[in-house]
This record gives sequence, structure tokens and C-alpha cells, in this order.
Amino acid sequence: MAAERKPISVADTSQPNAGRIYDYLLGGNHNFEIDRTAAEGLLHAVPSMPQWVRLIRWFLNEAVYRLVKEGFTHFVDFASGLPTVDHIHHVVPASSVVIYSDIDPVTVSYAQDVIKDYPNVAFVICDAAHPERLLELPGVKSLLGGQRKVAIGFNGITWFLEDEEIAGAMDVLYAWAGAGSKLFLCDTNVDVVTEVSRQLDVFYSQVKQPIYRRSRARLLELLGRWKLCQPGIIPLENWLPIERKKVQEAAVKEGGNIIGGFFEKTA
Amino acid sequence: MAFNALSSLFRQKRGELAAILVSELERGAFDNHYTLHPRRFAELGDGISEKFLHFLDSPDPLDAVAYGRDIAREGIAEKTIVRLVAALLRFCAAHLSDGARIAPFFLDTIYSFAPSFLQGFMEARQAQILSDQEQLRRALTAALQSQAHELLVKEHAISTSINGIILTDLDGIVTYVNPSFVLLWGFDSAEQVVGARFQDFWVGPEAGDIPRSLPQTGGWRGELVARRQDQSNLTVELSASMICDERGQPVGVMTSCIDVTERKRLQTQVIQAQKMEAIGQLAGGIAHDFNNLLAAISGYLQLLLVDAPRDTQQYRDLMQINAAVDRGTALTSQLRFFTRQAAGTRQIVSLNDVARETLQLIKHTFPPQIQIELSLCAEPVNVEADPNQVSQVIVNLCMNARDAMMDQVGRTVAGHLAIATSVAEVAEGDAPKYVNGRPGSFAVLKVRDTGVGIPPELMERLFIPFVTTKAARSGTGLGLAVVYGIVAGHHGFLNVSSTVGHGALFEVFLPRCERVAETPVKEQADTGRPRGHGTILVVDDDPQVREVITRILEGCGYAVVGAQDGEDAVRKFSTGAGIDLVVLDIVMPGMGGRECLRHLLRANAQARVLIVTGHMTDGSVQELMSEGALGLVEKPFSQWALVAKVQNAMGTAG
Repeated sequence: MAAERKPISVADTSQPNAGRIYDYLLGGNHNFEIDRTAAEGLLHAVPSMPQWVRLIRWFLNEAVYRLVKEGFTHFVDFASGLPTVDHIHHVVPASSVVIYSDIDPVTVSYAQDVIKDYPNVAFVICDAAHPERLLELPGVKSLLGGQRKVAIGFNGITWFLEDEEIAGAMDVLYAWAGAGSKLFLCDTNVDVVTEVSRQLDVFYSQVKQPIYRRSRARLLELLGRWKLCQPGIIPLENWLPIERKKVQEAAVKEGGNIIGGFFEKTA
Repeated sequence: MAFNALSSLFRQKRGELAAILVSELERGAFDNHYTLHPRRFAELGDGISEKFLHFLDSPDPLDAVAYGRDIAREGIAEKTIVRLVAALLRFCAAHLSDGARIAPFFLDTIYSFAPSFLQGFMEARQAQILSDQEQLRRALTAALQSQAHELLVKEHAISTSINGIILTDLDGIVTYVNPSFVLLWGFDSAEQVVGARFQDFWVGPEAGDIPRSLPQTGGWRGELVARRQDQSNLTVELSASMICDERGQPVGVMTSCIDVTERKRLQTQVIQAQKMEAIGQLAGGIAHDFNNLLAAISGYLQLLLVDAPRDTQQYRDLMQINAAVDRGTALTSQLRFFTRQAAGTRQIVSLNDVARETLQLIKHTFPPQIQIELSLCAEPVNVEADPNQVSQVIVNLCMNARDAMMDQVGRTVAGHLAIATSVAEVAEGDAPKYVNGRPGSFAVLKVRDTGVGIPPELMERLFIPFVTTKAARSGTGLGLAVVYGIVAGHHGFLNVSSTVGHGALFEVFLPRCERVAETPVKEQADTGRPRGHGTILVVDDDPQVREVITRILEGCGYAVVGAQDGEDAVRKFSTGAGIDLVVLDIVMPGMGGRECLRHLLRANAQARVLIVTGHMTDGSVQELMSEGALGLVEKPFSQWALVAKVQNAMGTAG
């Protein structure tokens, strides 16, 4: 089992922070010079990073959009990051319950200030590898009101977790969730290790968030009892109304793409 | 071409314009802010085209600026907005190149849209950036303040802890101490401590091993003796643990200390008090049984003495036996003092008067080498006590002091005995300093000597019966035990302090009484063998004691009926035999005396009952009196004392 994670806090402006770099790559303004400088180094190695991070974000938005249309009213999200304008609580109806979480206490503190005017929205501290810690929180239980048929977001976090951590988390979530619950996630689908992926590894180790890659088949093993929904776990661009050619070219160059899908607890 | 016709022409091509704009949006999908989801492109393209056509219908630069601002909030990037504007102009150019003459103001209108549109867009983007930055700054400030507050709370937790906390580096050098540590060790400031070695604050070498052992053990807990700055010692319970950084590497040691000196002292006191209680119960039981035996022996002896001819060897032999019985009686009496069974006669007495009178009596027994000093309190020092017992306390303490000022071969060395009385207020917080101590107002008797002092190993056993340092010399080893029993029986307590070779100080605390001292009652002189009449029921399970009492009373003219236990007594009392008085033993098997008393009084509320026993406490006597008993005769008793009590109870004389 991996040791307890202690990432660089988003409040520590003396070092680049993965969350703030991510925000810069997404075109956001919640970052500092030290992050932008680090991000430029990443962009030099992986020019297509802006597209990947947007695809990940759009997949989250698309997933929530579809789940709302399916009738889901309760959402639990892991590794949420900063709850900015396109996040879950802006997509779902106002009466929906949304529980965000993140491992960084400063991000949580920041986020709680951002969502303070939303009574059905909460942001708690939790390591995504240990979802049981969130599920047992009295405040979470109270907000969920006993509802176990929930939509669970595990988006943009799996490549930061080791295989056994994913398997453990999936098991906990499956055991807790009620029948009909759905989980959406994305992960890298890496067939070969390229120079680009090597540079990516170096970059993320410097910000103390090592990358773990796996194949589609391995990911499906780790999902355990969760049942894959149609149309399967497919490249993120296939979920969105965008031109795919550019994305596919980048995937070939970088040795893999990012895939996403929906899973269900049927019984 | 008329302006309206131009607008209508473009409006007919609205769908085409919207499609062009959507295409540009898709081209720049990854350039835009992530909040602009591709799902929005179709709606956006349609919206921009509509706003442009509306502008053409009613050109107002302010409207174009507003349109630009609205677009900026959608998340469109700068690159994308330029492409969109270019696409709009190309569209217009494509549909106006039909050779017709275009009025200049038509072109002005078309071209005036772009600058205003872009101006609004840029203004909104700039405001957004500043707003996002400000939001980030505020949130981070709040988060950092929260962190700082949390750190401050934790720092306060350490600095205000009542436990002494000491931090050292891995070499055992002190890096921090909290105020409680400074206070416990008697320093003036933390600066006097920081930089010193951890082991410098403890007695013995064991403390130095703690930091070295922690990497293996992970923690250490135990008791050590600490040395204060003034070189005095205190007993400390401490727990030490490693301090590790975020990588789990040890960086120092934290030790938390609690002063348990007081707690251990109290524990010792409690154990001592419990021990004395247990010894008291044992002694009480022994005294009771001996009293019964002595009562029987003494009774028969007195009967024999009455009939034995004087000036005969037989008489002299009986007197020797009587003297031995008296000595035995004195011994059990002293034991009864220790066990607090000797209730005595309580009255308000002046401690000053008792001290003065007692010293007057005993000072002749002190050799001239010992100076005696008496200091009496200027204000009244009254107590509710048996004056004889208080006098006994003073006598025993003074005798003990005198013996302490003798050398190895029994010669008295020069010395000083100081007796003093005073008053003292013992506060709630000070009471635990004394064994059996309690808060309140007290009359204090102090007896100080300059004798050999009391070794520490003897202090704990000082008041235990028969513990003596006097070898084969005089004394029973009960002197201080009697003092203890009398003081405890009067709800007081003692304090002893001594250093070997520098004498001892005994302090006797008795509850102070505000009432005025009473005039002592003189005992009645023996006026010869009394006579009486009436029927007396004697109840005692001991046949010898029962016979002795019977013969004494019959010798005085009373008719006596005997009962061997409570049930027998109740039966005989209820037969209508005309019992005038019941002489009732308390400690009996089966129905005891107390229950028998209740039965007798239930049968006849006017029944007269005299209690005879050798095992009573002051409280028990009061209880029996309140239940209806008339009086108490303590064993062993003289026949005159018994008869006097009987006469008093019967309400007759002679």
C-alpha cells in the first residue's frame, strides 16, 4: 500500500503546484508565475497538454450532463480540485446534492469559501484512495440523507493512484453504493512508453505526484464488480462534438490517449 | 442599396453565418477557456450571428461593447474572438461583392461593429483575470490564516499545558521548554534552560539513556526524580516520544512531565491511614476480649477481697493479683485510647489551662539539664475534649521528648523542650499536607525537643502500638499510639517533622471551639458500700462476667435475674417479672445488645437499660443514648463504679 500522500499545498507559493499548473493549462487565472514557468516546461515536452486537460474537464461536464438527464440528483466527486464555474454544481439543478472532495486542506478551505452560498453543496477533505473516510463523515451522511443511489465522479485521478489503491477504492465504493448507482472515470491508455511520456513522468515527480499508467484491460480489472456501460470505455474525444483528427495525431505521438467511461452497480 | 435591404439580405443568410461561426469555434476549441464546453458551440454561433444582425438593424457602439463582454464570459479565447470577427467581415465582404455601389455609411456600420465588440471583449477579459486573481488571493489568505490560527492554537496548547514540556534535539540538547516546565523546575525564564543537556535536570544517570533509546523503543514512560534549580527534588512522571518530520525522519524528542510529588505523598498518607485503621481494628478486637477476661478476673477478685481476712498472706497474695489486674487494665485502657474506644467525658476546655496544669504536674520528672519553655497563645484556645485525655497527650509527648534527649546509656544530655499553644486556620488546599488533615479552625499544641530526632524509616511507624526505640527501658511502646488514638478520637490530626540529630516537632491539631471553657466537674468520693433494692436483669453472654455482676449487685441488696443472650433477655423481660433495670452487654452472638434494647423499649417504653461493654466508640454511645439507654458502664469496671451507675439509673441511693 502506498504511503499517505502529502502533496505540495495550493497555498505554498514557493513551489509549483500540480493543481495550479492544471488550472493554467486549462486557461485559468488561479495560478502564479512559478506555476506558469513550470507549465511552460511541460508544454515544451508535451505540446498537446492543453487539449488533454480540456478533454478531461469536458468529459466531466459531459458525464454530469448525461447523468442529470438520467435522473441522478446526488453526486459524490473525488479529487475535485477548485470548484470553478464549469464544475458539477453549475451543471446540475439547484436542488441536487453535490459533495466534492480533495486531498489538499488548503484547496478544501478555499473551495468551502467558494461554495458557501450553496446549501446543498459540500467540500470535504479526503484522499481519493480512501473513499471510506468521506463516506463516513457525519456531514456527508447528513447531506446525502441516506440516499445511496448516487453518481460518483472519479475523474482525472486514477493516473495518480497505484493499481491496488484503485482496486481498494472501487471495492469500497461498490460496497457502499446502492443499486443503480453510476461511476464515471477516465484514465490513460498507454501501449508504449515514449520520450514524451518519460518527460511527463519527470515533470510530475518534481511536483511530488508520480504518474501510474496502465492499459485499458488492466483498468477494467481494477474496477472489480462495477459493470461497464455502453458504449464502453472509449477515447474522451469520442464523447464530445469536436474534431478528433488533431487529438488522434497527438495520441499516436505520445504513445497513448485518455479513455473514459461509465460504470454501474446493477444490483 | 437601402440599409434595410442590406440587413434583410444578411438576415436571409443567417443560418450560413451561424454555421461559419460554429466552425471557427470548433477550430479553436482547445484555445478557449476550459469552461466553454463544445456542446455550447452551436448556441454560441447562433447567438453571435443574431447579435451582429441586430447591430446592423440598429447600430449602437454600446451594444457592440456589451455583446463583446457577454462573449468574454462564455470563455472564448482571444485567438478565437479575432477569428470570429474576421469570419464576420469575410461573410459581409462575400455578400456585398456583387458590383453594387455600397453607401459609405453602410460600410462604416459594418466595420464599426468589430472594434466595439473587441473592446467589450477585452475589458471583460481583463476584469475576469483581475477578479480571478483577487479571488485566489483572498482564498489563499483565508486558508493561510486558518493554517496560522491552527498552528497558533497548537502552540498555545503546548505553552499553556499544565504539564511541563521540554523539546530536545537528537543529541539531547534542550531547544524549547514551556512555561510550566520553567515553573516546575524553579527557573526564572526559559532562556536559563535552552541549550542545556536533558540529563542535567534529573537525579541519577537514567534520564540520559532516554533520548538514546527512543529510536528503538518509540516512546518512554516512567517516573524519575528531578532536580530543581534550587537543588531540591521532585518526583516526576514523564513520557517521552520522538518528533518526526513529514518524511518520517526523527528530528527531536518531546518529553511531557507531571509533578507527582504531591500525589505520591498523598498515596503514602492514605496507605498510612489505612494501615493505622487496620491496626486499630485489630487492637480494638484484642482489647475487647481482654477487657472481658479482666472484668471477670477483677470481679471475682474483688469478691474474694471482700471476704478475705486482712493481715493474712492470702489477702496480700490477692492484692498482688489485683495490682497485676490493674496493670492489665491500664494497658487495655491505653489500647482503647488508640482504638478510640475510650469516649471520655467531653467538655469545653482551655488548651492553655490543660497545658499549663499538665506541665506543672510533670516538670518534676525532667532532669535539670533539660530546659522547659511554655508559650501559651494570647487568645483563648478552647476545644471540646476530655481534659484528661488531652492531658494524657501532653504527658506522652513530653515523655517521648524527654526520652529522645537521653544518650545511649540512658543519661540525659542537655536539651530544650518547648511547649506552645496557638490557633491555626487550615485552608482547603493545605489540608492534604497532613495525614487525616481537614480544613478548618484548629487549636494547635506544639511540642518541640532537641533530642536525637526520628529516622525516616521510623516516621511511617511512629504511631503503631508497641513500636519503640527504647529497647528494654521503661515504657510500653504505646505512648505515641495513645496520642494518635486520642487526637483522632477528637477529630484532630497530627503532624510530625524531624531531622536526625536535630530533634523533633510534634504538632497536635484539635478542632477549635468558640464556646467558653466549662468548670471541670470533681469526681464524687467513695462513700462506702451502697445498698439498693429492686430487680435487675443482667444480660451478658459471658457466664463469668454475668456471675460477677450478679454477685456484686446481690451483695448490694438487689434481686438479679440473668439472661445469656438477647432473645433470653427479651423473653424474661416480657414475662412480667417486674424488671426494674436491665444491665445489658452490647456485643453478643445472635440478637445483639442494640437489637435487644429496641425490643425491650418496644415492650415497655419506660424500660431502664444500662449498657455494659468494653467495645464502644463515642458515636456508638451517643446512638444508644438517643435510642433510650440510660447510661454506660465500661469494662473492666470497679464494683463501686458499677453500683453507682446502677443506683443512678434506678433513681435510688443507699
